[in-house]
Amino acid sequence: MGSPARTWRPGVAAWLRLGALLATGGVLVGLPLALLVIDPPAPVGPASPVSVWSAVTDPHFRGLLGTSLRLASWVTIVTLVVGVPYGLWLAWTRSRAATPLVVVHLLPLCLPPYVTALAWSSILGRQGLAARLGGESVGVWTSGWYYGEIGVVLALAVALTPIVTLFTAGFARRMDASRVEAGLLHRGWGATVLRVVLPMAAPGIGAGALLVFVLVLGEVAVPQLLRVRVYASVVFGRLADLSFQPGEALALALPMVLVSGVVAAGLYLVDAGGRQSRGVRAPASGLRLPGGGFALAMGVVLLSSAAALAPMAELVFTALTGPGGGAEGLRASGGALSNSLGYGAGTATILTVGAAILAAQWSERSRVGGLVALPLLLGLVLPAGVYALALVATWNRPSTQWLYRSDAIVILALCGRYAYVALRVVKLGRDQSPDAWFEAAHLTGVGPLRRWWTIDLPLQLDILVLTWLTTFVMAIRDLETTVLFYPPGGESLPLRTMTLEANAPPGLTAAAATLQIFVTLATLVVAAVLWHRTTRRVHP
Amino acid sequence: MIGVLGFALVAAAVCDCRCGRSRSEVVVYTSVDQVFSEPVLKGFEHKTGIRVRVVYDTEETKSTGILNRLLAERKSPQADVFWSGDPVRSQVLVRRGLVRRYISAAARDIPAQFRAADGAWVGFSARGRVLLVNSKKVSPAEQPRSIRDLIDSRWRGRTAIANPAFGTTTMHMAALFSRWGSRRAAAFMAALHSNGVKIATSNGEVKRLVVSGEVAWGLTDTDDAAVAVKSGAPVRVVYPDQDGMGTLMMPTTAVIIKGGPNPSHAKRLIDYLVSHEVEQRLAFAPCAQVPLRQSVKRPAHVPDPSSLRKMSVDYGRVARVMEQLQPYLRDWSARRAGAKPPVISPRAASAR
Repeated sequence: MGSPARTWRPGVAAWLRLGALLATGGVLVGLPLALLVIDPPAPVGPASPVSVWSAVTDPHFRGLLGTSLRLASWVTIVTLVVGVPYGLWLAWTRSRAATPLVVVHLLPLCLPPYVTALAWSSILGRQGLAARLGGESVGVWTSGWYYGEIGVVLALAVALTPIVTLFTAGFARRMDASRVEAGLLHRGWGATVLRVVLPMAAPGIGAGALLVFVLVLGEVAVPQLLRVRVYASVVFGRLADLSFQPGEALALALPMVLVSGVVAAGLYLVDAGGRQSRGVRAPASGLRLPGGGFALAMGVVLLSSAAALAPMAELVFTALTGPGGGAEGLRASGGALSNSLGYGAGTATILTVGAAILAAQWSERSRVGGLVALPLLLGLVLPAGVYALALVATWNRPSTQWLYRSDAIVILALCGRYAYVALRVVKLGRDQSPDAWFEAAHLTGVGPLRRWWTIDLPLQLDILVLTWLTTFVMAIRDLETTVLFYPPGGESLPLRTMTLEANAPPGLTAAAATLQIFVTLATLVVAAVLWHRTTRRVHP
Repeated sequence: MIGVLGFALVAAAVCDCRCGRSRSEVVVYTSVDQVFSEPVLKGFEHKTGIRVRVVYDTEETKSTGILNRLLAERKSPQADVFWSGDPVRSQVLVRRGLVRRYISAAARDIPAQFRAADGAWVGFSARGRVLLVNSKKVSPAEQPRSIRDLIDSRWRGRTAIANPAFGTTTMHMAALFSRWGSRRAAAFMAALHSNGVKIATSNGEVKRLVVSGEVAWGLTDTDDAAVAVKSGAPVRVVYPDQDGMGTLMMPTTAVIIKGGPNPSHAKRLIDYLVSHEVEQRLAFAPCAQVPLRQSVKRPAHVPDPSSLRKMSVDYGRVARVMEQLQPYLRDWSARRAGAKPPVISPRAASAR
């Protein structure tokens, strides 16, 4: 059985830390959004109610919003179909192959979706692998459907399915095993999964689906590459075309901001429910899938691995052998790689240290903690273009040029975007640790700071490294948050990959993407080993 | 977290600023494709020892994304030089008073129509707007010869142009409005829709559509066309309207940004960009740009500008028209019914 719920009450210091968390969210997300509305960075005025109304009611925009919603719905459905069985398998498997398979599965999530779409085009494009193997007519056929809505669904589903997988696995691990076993006594596996397992995992699955939905809504680069006009690209267009209408961009973005707000609230509720149910039941990680269910899950797992690996392998092949590629091509992207590593390391270090200090109180103060972290959650789910514009409104002022002109602005933006991820990972690690350890420390009367230094920190060292690696990967994959204001000479690898798309030889573009793949893969492998070690230490 | 964040960011910014100051550097924003501009700027670094920090544009927002960034930063400019892939974006900056005038001695032999007498801007190494034709789909006998062939019913649904809200296609449409006047040009634009012309996200995308045979031909820039030819794709390049109004030529242009952090290095960079060396380098590069000076060596596949019939264009007027035209072009791209262009009277022969 799990340990009893924690009983001690943190004092003033803990409340101060919660206040600091709220202030962080305020500075990183709340203030920029407020300034974007009050004082947008443009010669034109702020978004007026009239412009908002015309944006929402214009038939053209409605049509594009319809396209975006349709794409988001399809991607969400595909991610559920693949991610839920994968997640259940992951939650209950004891196979040694799980770790490498999960690394492969997570790889597309940890890369910019643009790179995944580019990788798939190297297979399905007119001159892609399919055309080389099957002839020109095959290339015509594959590119015909890939360059369109189907391609967007494919690329984004491959990139985002791991979100549903992780949420499903997280909830499936914590579900009440006795209820599943009771179901198995009376019904077959299929019925038990449908009537017992899925309803119990529904909050997690729903949360994953919501997050996928909102991320697809905000995606610009993949639809642009695959020639699909979506609502988010209109918002981006208002910032990029000659008329430069940030006020109008904001008006157009409002429906997306509202959806993001709803999603953030939904995720908060799911999280609050999860916190209440934590630690009171027998975990279900000892369950096993039966033959049929296992075969189905393995089919999904292998298919998903092939969908992740095959296009990446083709991209790497192009990088090594294609025109402009090889060692020279890889060397040419060295500067962008070094920028990306710098941004990633800076962001990850700040977020890890911050989360290490603050996440404990956040975890313990369930509802209050969830509420104070809401601004940071909003920073994660907001369309990247809107958040970027808000940062320009806030920091591109004469008095803050010391920040805006430096690499620090990129790190600041990435911190705002991924602070919530850091909090979640640290909390996850804390939830893995038996409460008794913390309670014992508390009962000895040790002060909060010393308890944190002598108990929390050593216990969570692995998880803090894991937090660092997770936020590092998120930071180096980011494309759209920083494209509007990255400092001169400070282009990241994803940005370089995108700007090279214009007329660069295929090998050179692929080389930039390949560097991204290798750095991400190496980080994921280290993270997987650490996670494995942590969970084995706590649940041997 | 806020304390950690604040401390770390201040430290990073201070360190970054100090490191920046200790080096001799110049900041460039460019809408010229990275793959072509990067070697030129590296050449400047190598020659002068001055570090170049660059912001490149993405293919889809070509020219305009960078321009908007310059406009947004006008209260505290970050850039020293804007190297534009076309002449009119520089004109927009000139018109808004964001440019510092500088007459480069190195640009004295550039023809007068490609530079401002007062040093506000200077052009060099041009691109043209050409028809890229898939030779498997179109025989030499039937190949298009004018941009007006885009609205010829025999090509219905078989041609492509880039989204005119962005990039050089905006300039091209503005040049047509400037030349033809709004009535005739708007009729042309409407006919593009009714003739099923595909709207690609960029000129590079037009190239891909033609190369892959998804369309028979498209309107694009010479650099995109040259890359397609060099890759061995089955394509031909046609300079349109050689027996009519001529081909639109677009020199790349460079301006110094007023209030930029490194004005003296900006001048040195301008001197370098307009040099014979850079024009020759860009002519022999995969972009195959056309040198404006006849004395500069060029490979055989790059035409002599004097042998081409060029569209007569007043870049300053085109820039003004382009700003007026933007809302219409957006509506046109969105296929919004009843989109109305601004009233622009035709001006042909008198234009420079």
